[in-house]
Amino acid sequence: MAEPRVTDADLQRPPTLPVEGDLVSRRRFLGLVGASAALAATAACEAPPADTIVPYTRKPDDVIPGVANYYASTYQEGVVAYGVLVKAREGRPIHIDGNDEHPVFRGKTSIRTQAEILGLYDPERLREPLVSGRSAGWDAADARIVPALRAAADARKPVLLLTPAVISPTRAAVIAELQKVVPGLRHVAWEPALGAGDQSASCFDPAVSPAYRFERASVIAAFDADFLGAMGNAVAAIGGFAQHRRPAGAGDAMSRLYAIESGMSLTGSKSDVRIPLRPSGAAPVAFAVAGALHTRHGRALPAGFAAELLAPFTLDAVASRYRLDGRALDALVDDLAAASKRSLVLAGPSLPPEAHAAVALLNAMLGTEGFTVDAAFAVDSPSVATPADMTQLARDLDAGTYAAAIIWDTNPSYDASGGGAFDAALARVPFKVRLALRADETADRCDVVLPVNHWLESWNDFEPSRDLLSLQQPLIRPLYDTRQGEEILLGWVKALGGRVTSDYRAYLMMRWERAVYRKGTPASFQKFWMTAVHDGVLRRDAEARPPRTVRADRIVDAARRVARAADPSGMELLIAPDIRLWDGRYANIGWLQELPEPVTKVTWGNVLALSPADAGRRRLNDGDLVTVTVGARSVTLPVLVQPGQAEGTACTALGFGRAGGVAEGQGVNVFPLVAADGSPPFWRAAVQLTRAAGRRPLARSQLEFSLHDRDVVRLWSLDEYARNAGPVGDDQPLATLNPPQDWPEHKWGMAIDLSACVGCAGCQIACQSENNIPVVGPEQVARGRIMHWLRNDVYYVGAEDNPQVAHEPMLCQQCDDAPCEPVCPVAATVHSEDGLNEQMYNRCIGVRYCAANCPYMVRRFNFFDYTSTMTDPLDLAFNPEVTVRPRGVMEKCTFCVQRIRNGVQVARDEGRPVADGDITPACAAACPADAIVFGDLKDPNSRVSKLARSDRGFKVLRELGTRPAITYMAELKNPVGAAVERIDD
Amino acid sequence: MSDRVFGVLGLYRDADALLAAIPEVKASGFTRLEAFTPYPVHGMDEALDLPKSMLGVLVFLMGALACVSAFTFEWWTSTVSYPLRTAGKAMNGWPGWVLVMVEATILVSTFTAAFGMLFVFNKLPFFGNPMLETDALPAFTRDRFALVVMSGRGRLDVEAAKAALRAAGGDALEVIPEPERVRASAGWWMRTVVGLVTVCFLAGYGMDWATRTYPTVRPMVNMEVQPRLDPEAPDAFFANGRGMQRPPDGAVARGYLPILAATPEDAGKELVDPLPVTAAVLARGRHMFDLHCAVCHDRLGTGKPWLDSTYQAQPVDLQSAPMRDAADGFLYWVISQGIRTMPGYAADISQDDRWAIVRYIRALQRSQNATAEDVK
Amino acid sequence: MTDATLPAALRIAPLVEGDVSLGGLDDTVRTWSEKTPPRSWYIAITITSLVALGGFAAIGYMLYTGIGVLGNNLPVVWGFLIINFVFWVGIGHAGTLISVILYLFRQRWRNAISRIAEATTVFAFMCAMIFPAIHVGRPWLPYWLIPYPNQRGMWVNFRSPLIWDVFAVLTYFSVSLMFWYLGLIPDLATLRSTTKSRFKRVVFRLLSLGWVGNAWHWLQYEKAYLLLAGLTTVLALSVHSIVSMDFASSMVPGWHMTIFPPYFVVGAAFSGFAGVVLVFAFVRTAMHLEEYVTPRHMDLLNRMVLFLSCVMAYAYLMEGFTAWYSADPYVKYVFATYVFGGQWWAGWLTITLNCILPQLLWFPRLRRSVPIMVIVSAGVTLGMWMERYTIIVLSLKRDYLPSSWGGYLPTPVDWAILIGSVGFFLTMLLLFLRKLPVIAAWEVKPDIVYYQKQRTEAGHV
Repeated sequence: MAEPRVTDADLQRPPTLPVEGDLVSRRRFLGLVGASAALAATAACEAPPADTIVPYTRKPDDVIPGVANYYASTYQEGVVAYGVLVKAREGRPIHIDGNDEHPVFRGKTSIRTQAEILGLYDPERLREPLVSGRSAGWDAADARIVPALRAAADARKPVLLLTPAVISPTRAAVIAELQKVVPGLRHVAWEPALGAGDQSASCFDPAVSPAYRFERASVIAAFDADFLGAMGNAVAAIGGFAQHRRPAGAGDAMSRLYAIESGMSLTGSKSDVRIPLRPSGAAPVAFAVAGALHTRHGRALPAGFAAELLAPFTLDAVASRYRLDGRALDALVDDLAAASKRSLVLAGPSLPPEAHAAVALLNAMLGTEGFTVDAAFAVDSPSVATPADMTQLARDLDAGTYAAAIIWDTNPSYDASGGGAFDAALARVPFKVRLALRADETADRCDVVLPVNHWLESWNDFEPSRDLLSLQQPLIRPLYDTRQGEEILLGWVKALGGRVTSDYRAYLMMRWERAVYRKGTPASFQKFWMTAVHDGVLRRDAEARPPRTVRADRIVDAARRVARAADPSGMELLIAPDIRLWDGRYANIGWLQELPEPVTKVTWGNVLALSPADAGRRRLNDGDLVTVTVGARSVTLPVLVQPGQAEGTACTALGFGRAGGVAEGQGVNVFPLVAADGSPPFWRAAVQLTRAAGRRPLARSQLEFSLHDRDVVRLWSLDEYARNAGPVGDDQPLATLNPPQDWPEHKWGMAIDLSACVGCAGCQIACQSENNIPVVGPEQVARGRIMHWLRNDVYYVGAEDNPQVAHEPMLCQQCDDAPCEPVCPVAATVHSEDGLNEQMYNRCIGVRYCAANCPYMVRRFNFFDYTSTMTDPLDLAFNPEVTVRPRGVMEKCTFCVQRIRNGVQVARDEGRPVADGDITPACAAACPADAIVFGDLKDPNSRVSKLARSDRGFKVLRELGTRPAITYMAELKNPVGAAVERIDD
Repeated sequence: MSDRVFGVLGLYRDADALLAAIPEVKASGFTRLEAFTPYPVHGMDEALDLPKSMLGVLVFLMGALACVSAFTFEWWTSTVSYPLRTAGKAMNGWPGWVLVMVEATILVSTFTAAFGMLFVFNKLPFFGNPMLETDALPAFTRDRFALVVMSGRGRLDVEAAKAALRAAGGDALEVIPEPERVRASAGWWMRTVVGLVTVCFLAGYGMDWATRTYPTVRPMVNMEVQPRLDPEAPDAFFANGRGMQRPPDGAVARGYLPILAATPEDAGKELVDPLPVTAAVLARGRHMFDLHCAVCHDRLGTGKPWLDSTYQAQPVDLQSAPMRDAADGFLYWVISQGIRTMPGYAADISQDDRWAIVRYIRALQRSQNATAEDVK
Repeated sequence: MTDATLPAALRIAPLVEGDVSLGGLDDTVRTWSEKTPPRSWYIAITITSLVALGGFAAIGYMLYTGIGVLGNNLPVVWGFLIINFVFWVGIGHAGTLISVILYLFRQRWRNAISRIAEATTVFAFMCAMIFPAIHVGRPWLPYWLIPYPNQRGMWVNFRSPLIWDVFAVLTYFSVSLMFWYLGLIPDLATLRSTTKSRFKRVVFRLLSLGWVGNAWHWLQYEKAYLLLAGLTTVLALSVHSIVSMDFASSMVPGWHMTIFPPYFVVGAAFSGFAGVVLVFAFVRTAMHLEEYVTPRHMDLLNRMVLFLSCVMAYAYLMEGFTAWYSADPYVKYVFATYVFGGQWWAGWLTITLNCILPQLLWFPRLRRSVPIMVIVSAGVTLGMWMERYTIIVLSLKRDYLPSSWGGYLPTPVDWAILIGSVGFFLTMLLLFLRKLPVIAAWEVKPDIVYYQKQRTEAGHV
């Protein structure tokens, strides 16, 4: 049965509707990407409509117009289930944060999850079922599907069900139900971004993927493992990692991060010791470290692993072979030995299995199992197909035995490697059904396309670990005539004679009452369920697994293979999911397309990162097109010369080159380069680079990465910290002609700990979502007109072959003596009584003098009409508490003034003073590292006041006398030689 | 054409000739002389003993006035009328005002100089000047120099004047008749006034019509219309045309766990008052009680409605024994869900406020049934 | 005619040549408003007005679409429009400086050229005033820059240099317009009494306000003229100082310079004189004004250009020195980019055209050669535009945080507006030359008399 769009019998259509709907709807989607000149023209000379008020006829108990509600829910991406807390206004989700009740996420979530708001309101979503390309009703669709399934069931012919990884027990149950009525059903889970899956797990018994407890690690060695970026659950990783990156004062120790990697990843940019190394070198180096641990520090090798296996790998040998810094390697060994179980060694998913085996050996020798590597409550790894499996599947399909294929969410026509082999095979399947949000590459090849609910319209449950269940609840009724995937399946089961309800919520509750709820507990199931939905998570007591045992045999094989391997030669290519678009599923979300990649600052596309040496040798510059050839396949990418990139390696990202909508023509699809033949999918050796004709200028949000010896960001080693402790000379007040300012009630301020900040850009998306910041499109970005109020600056310090990297979130500094204020001829930007630098959009006439005079260049200008031409329903994503700025108006960060005013008013209503932490701007709320702290500088005991007095605090461009309200805290590096923090059990 | 004479004119070859002629003509008794030259001839003011010009004084006064008023205006706007914090500068930061004062001073004084000269001292524009009608006009605006013997009130010995001018070397002598004064007729005034009034009316109504028809024209909607969706605004996107949607069935918002007790009695067992015991809570409870409950249950909760007999229902007496014995949760449940004819108030009164009302009802009951202990 | 028997006034080349008479002057002046102009005039004005229309079309497109069609961006928030504004304000300074300051210094040679110089001032300011109005983001609101009482109870921010600008520019334009008209009155009176066409007679009769030139009027008139001269001098010096404060009082490295006010004033005069030379190089022969605008006039103008060029060179040096001596890394870096940066040519073009090229004028022969003076003053005009480009764009491109460094690329719209403004200026100038007295006859006439007298005394008639 269909979920009707809005089922309130008591809601009648209001008598008259103003033309506003038409005014903003039915515009080309281009409005989003801001090429809106022509559109503004079409909008010209329309008188604004008369306002109509349409109240609730019967007000829901829990909705107060103008006051936000918060709903706990869960979002699945790959094998991670993000617990989220969604902000809704008048029954409409507008902002996503992490679920504060969730033990893992603690109120934080990933940039991609935050941006899903735009995914919900994506105008390109399917609005009704399509039967052979033509729009049809659900009955028509079922009329095609059910008989086909029945026929297949009767004929005992195989039917393919392709889904994303199933980490939801109830979804699994539903699939099982379908299996009952369609015996030939073959379920394959496909996650292109996971490549060959978690290979380190396969070196242990049982082969489950552990949780990495970064908050317990004092020494971390990451082999091409970008755990702060696109690898695994970065939100949890950043939170744990950052805990040991913020010494309270000079003399305190901190953790040490070794990054042994080919490309310059976020993790590498935060590392204390970075060792550029080609991917093929990871395994030998790891084995050499293991060998040194054994010989120098007498670490025991696991049973069944003979010491002589490590003989070929000596530190000196690998150091000379890969031209590495021997001292760094020695230090790594010593640190690991010293930290033993408090250390953590990681191998990136892109690396070959040998590297994972070597790393597993290291972890085993260091005894990290059960401490930093925690598999106590790990669930059995869900079965996920590797690219090789997909090739096999393609062969099976090609055999023509399959009666039908049901493809749910995953988009194999785009992301199945093997260059269209899967498409060709799919064509051999007589009947194909697509369950999808959008009409995508795969949908074009299917007979019936069924629109599914967005997750913010859906019910579900997930089991991230055996002691935790995470619930997904809908925030809004389906915007279109769509159904939830599970419901569609249940519908078929019912039609095929299964005895189930097709109401998925009822099914879910029934299953919970059976499987989760324990009889005899005092609270009724109703109460139990409601509480679970309310909290979004349910902790359960499950008994812990015994520690995993390492499988020496696999490591032995790996060591033998590596020992036989030839010397490295030629270019190696490393492919990884993009931190913004992941495997391409977010390609239609403008926020993510326009989010600058955290290290390269490239927007709207992927690049081929080359080391300066390699690029110089080939006379390549940024934007030159290069054809990358691996075996038979090749794609053409623009080059990016990346400081710190290991020589002889190239890196690129998945997820771009999607067809249709916003993504059309942005970036290049590199899935064709992914190995489909059992060899490591994301690591390709012997890659040919040939210069292609032409250039593709990169739309980058930052063009200059050198500091030019300017004191705009402070990057200190620990002993420098000890030396410079105390805000250097910053305590001396600057001479000023101005009278002292008084702040009657509050003086809002911010402190940003650059040492904790990893530059993940979570704050940027949060800001964009909270403050209605428009997306302007690649052309405008290239013209230098990106609108982000908050940007993350990146600076390289030191030699360009392996520089140190500083990240610096840059937003309006809310200067006490703001240079922008006196120059505005119409007084459109002035100072508030509580220390905010206010921008009055309505008064602004756009002379842009303030922007010229802002030394931080954080003001943004609407060169065109970027907003009013936005397509319905994208406007629903706007935050109603924030002005939507039209053309010709200057704008900038306001410390989320709407939240400040709200917090103050609430406190006043409750007749109490504003407490520290009452008010949190979107960026601070989203920061997974808690690097951003906001509060009242007038209250000497507030967190921000304490941090503002930190002995590594500094103000950017203090010497200009702008007196910023933001205090930055120097970024600290813990180089070899300094002490390493000791973490207690 | 009257017979009254304005003056007698004679032309001279160059400035020197003119300067030489003036004393001669004076000598022959004609004191009221006027000279007309194509360019300013120096020495003319002494020759005709003209008074000094007061223009400079006027300019100085007006300039000074402008300077002072500019300063006053800037001081008033930036400190009294529209004081705003900018860059922590003092409100009365006079250095920033100087340049505007300078410009204002110059503007006013230059215009004073120009218009003072033209309008005040030279009485221009003046097209009734008889000199404009003379035949010699082209000559003395070009390359000749004219000397005119003026008649005092139209009386003048024309021949004598001619003789004097000729004797002083003047030629092309010319008698300039006095033009008769032309008065503007009443009809002219009428036409002018009516015309002006009509123009004003038309302009006014035209403007009014225009502003009604085009209140604001794109791209000039200055954020009056924003693409965002405000509370209680309609939105054509949703089938029911409303911007405000109802949350889906079964969804539970933070802080809005529904009461699960099926009956008030269960609620009495399950629910406990979460609020702290403070005067603020009681005050809040009293406020909400008087707002929502008192109209039926009476200020003291005696159940005597303020409404007249047409109001049929019998509200319960909150002071009655059963109500006094009822558990907090019971009252809370009833307030939220309603009972018998009483509607539920869950949508209108927030959870805390409902509990506050319960608390206040307790206070009412205690107050109405106080015992000796309470007074001790 | 330099033999010793001549009186001093005649020994150096006189300011009028040939045997000219007061009437002759009037006739020369009049002919241009009487007789139908040559075909060349028609061709010229067709071209210029078409160019102007192109410019206005571009402006219309920009107003409708948004200033995003320009090259402006972040960090380069000000581009061609502001450059053009400063440029035209600069050109607009010639008139006042020539007719006013030289008047105060009793430089009789300014009489013959003052009228056209003042005209250039007026027209240049018409061009200049277009830009501040259209460069704002919401071009339907610039009237908010004027402190008028409103029901919102809001006033402008008198601390903002842009407000000073508004006052300065409006004052300067209205004053120079009025000054120009004031000078025209006696000549209009002459035309009124001599013109043949009835229509013109009516118009000139009204415009000349019934001026008959009697002694008392002349007395007041000269007094007013003197006062205006004095006041306008102060004004002329203040206006470009204030324009310079748009930059000097900001904190952008490369803008924040104490030397700017005097340096901008000199720059303005420099470009102004160059502009006037350019105009006269053509007008003089095209309109047969050789008798009144003699080679000596051109020589003197060129000397001014040469002098000012040297002052500019000094200003550049001092600016560079200040930057270096300030030891402020940001400013130092910006100045380095002026001459060694990605757009080094901008800086070098400025220096070459403004400081090096005019040195040709040291040679008297070159000072009097029309081609040379055209090349030099055209070079100076371009050079001064480049100077503003260097200051505005190159400074903004490289401000404090390297992360926000950017580039600037003008769009066709930028170019169309710039060229269009030139077309507009020339169109106005051509119309003026065609219809109004191009020489301040009432000022030159005394000179003619003076030289006639000298000649007669010297017995050369």
